[in-house]
Amino acid sequence: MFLPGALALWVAFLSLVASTVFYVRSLRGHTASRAWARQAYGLATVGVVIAAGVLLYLIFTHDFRIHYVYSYSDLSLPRHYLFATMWAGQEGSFLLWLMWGMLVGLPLIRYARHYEDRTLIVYNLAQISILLILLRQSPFRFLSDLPAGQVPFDGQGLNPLLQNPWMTIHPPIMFLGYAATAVPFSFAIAALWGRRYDEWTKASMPWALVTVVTLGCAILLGGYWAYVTLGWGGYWGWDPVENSSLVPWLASAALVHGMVLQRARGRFRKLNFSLAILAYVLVVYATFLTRSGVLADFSVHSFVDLGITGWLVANLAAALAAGFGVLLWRWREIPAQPGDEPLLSRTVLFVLAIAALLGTAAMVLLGTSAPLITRVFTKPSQVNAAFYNRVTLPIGILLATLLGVVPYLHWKGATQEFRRRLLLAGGLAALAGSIAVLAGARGVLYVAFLLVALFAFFSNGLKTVEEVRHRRFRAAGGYLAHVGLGLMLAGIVVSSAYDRSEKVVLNLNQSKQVMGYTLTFMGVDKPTPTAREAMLVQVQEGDGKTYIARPRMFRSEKSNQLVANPDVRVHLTHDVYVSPIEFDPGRPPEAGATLDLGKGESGTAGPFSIAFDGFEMSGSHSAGEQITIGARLTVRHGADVEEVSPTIKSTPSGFTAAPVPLPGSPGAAAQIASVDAASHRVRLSISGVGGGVAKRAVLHKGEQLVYRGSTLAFDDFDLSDFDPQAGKINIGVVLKVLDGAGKGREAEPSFHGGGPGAPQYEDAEFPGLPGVTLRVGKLDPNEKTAELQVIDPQAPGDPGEPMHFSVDVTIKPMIGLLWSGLVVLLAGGILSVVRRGEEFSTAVASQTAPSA
Amino acid sequence: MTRRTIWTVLGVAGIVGFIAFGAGAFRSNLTPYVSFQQARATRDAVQVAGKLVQGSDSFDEPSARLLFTIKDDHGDAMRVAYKGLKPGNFNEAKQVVAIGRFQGGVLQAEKLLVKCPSKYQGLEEKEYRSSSS
Repeated sequence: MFLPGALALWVAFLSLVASTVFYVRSLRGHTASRAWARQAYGLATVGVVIAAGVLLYLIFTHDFRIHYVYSYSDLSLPRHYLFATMWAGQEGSFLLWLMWGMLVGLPLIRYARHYEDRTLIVYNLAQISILLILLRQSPFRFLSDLPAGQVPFDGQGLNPLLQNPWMTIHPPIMFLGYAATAVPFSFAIAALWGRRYDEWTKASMPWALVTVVTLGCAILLGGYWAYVTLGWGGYWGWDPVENSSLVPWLASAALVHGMVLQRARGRFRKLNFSLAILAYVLVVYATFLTRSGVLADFSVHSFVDLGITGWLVANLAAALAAGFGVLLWRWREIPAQPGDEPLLSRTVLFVLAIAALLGTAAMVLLGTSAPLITRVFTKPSQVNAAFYNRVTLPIGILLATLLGVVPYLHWKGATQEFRRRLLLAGGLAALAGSIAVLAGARGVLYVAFLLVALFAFFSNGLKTVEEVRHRRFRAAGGYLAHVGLGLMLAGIVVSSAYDRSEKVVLNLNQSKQVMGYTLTFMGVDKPTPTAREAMLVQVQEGDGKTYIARPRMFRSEKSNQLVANPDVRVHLTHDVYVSPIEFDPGRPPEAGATLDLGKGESGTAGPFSIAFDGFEMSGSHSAGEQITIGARLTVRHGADVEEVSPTIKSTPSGFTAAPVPLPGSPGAAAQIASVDAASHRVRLSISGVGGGVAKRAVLHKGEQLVYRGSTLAFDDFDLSDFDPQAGKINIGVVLKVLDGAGKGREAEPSFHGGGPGAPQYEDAEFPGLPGVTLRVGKLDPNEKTAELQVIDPQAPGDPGEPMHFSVDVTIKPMIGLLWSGLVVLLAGGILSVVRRGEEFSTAVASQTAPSA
Repeated sequence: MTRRTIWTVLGVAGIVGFIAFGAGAFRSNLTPYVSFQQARATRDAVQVAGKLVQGSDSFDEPSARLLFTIKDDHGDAMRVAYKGLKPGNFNEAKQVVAIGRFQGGVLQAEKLLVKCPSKYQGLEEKEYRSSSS
């Protein structure tokens, strides 16, 4: 355990316990204790912040003794991803959550007023429940079984999929949302405990809104990240991890509406207590689902059971028991006013909306918990994505309808302009919907959903414009948020119901038509040896414009994980989404001929006569640079004479040779196979001129091979120069020609190994067949077999295999509506947070004034 | 009947109807965890798990599908086809979970889950440097 960090956590823990004890004393009438309780809370906050700072310091100083640092970071990570390491693992993300919780608690102390003692007791206990997990599974523990005094040289690195800007900000926003759910929960329990059933909604509403805004934002950021990096073409997969933040969000959205309802109508107190408790319990349940390993068989996300399952279950049980226990205890005392509201009133619509939100939450929860539920009866099973789509579609239609109608309703009935405005909004929606149908939208339910989503958009849009025109900016927040929601729903329907997708295999430098686009694979872009490969695909769109798509596909060095990122081209009406499926580097043509030349010598390969004029060098080893060696060649092809120089580059990771094309014969190329600087000799591989291995055979002693009328028999191994102790592994293969032009003669190709450098093969002439040579392949001393290759310059030659790349091309219509809707929703949400926060402060001020 | 009674009746009917709808959707979309034999016998979507047979995976270009074989504890083998990107850690997989329908002799997987050995194994082979340096 790294002491400073662990110490900070223990200080935080003890201070939180002390704060709780002092609040209990304060509640018993010991008013001086309250100041102590606040101090202790402050100290705990400092402790947690220091712990987070220490972890960050350990990450930034690459202290790989620490298990957490070793597991989630390495030396090569840029600074912003080192920050992200902080929340890349379980322990770090709990610490982040705890830190947000502590910080959120500071203003809470200031504004909780009459509720302070009780609220903070509950809130402290909620913080302690997270802190206990951190004390048990500390981010500061050292790597186990590390040799004494030794530190790993480098860490294992951050999952390459998480190395994305969106992923660095997604978790902090998410955990702020999670942390904020504890506030309404604590207030609700404090309110029940202290029998003050109304004011708590005012105090906790800004926090509930913070949850809705941050969690909603985080969920969609996660979706956006999935869309631009994971390459399966979507932003939402109904995975347990996604669902487990959606469900608390739905409950929090229901809570916000319930609170508005209670404040306007003075009713629905029990509903709001239930919702506030439920939202928090769902966060705890989601944590249990995603972090205990119970869903490990059912999610694409990696869940590791850290051995904290027991704690998580205990937390869940405590939250449930405390929350609903207190609620039941006070149930009969909570004042209830039966009311009678007309159907077409804001009140009834709010109730319906809350029911629809909770219904959705219940269904998503049911689906996500399927493995737990089915485990009781049979083997654990999950539901597929179709379940979620089927149950959410009708509720979505209902919700969007309510969303469209509600702006022009009073709490107790319709407004005067109700009919006119709704007709206008409906008309606009019908118009936009008809355009969509003309553009190809089909399917009754989908079109219906699209229509109501547009209706919600227009109706709330009109209302927002009215509010702004009357300079009621803050009141516009709710409507503006719903404008965004309408846009998002429309974007979701259109982009998921009407996307088109096609898979295609692209050969290097060949064009293919896909859905009106012309795709050409132009090769792999890897500018530096450590750069991650990007595939270059030229896309020509219907209007003739072209761009280069750069989907990526590479193997992460650290984890050996294959990573594929799509390329997304954003247009006003659609996205073009090019996602890699499979990349095959192909195989270069095998060398048909090999020339071993000294300076000034020349040789022939196919139609070419090639002379070696000398080396040219650049770079120097001493500076640690790459050395490039070029071989100057004079190439004669008929009457043409041309000079070329193929190069070979020495890098710390090995040699890379660059072939040069040979003039006059398409596909012909020369490449340096090896250089011998001492004797000024170069070995060249010539491909594309025909020639090469014409026949391969594995022979036992006495077996025969027939080539071009000659019969060759494997006579014996020649081990006369075989002495492994002296570093000589030289094996000859004695072959006899039984029939044909060279009848009676012998050939002995051989293998020379054991010395320094790569093994050498010494070829032998095929007796009686001029130009044809024999080469030894694999020798198997146990089986007493020898592989033999017949190399013939007249063989047709090996064309190699072209590099190819399989992609999935998807056209996503109108997905931009989803992201722009989110921005509008957020703007509206933030306006609402400001409005409710101000209302609360004014309320506090007016309460304080008389007593002062 | 008072308005309140009507509301109550409507509310209860709505809730009951919704629960029935949800339960129906739940049952019909449940993909049970089954043995290979059961998977072959049904036309419904199921979930199977098995060990990846090393080297059995190939990419079928015309259909753009990843093909591979998994084996269960009894040595029963099943061919799986997956239309989509090969999961990143596929080749290190200890176990593969495939969800889909059995059709034409292969399991047409809609979703794959790949389970890998813990990334913390093999630590002993890592390079070390002295903490004093």
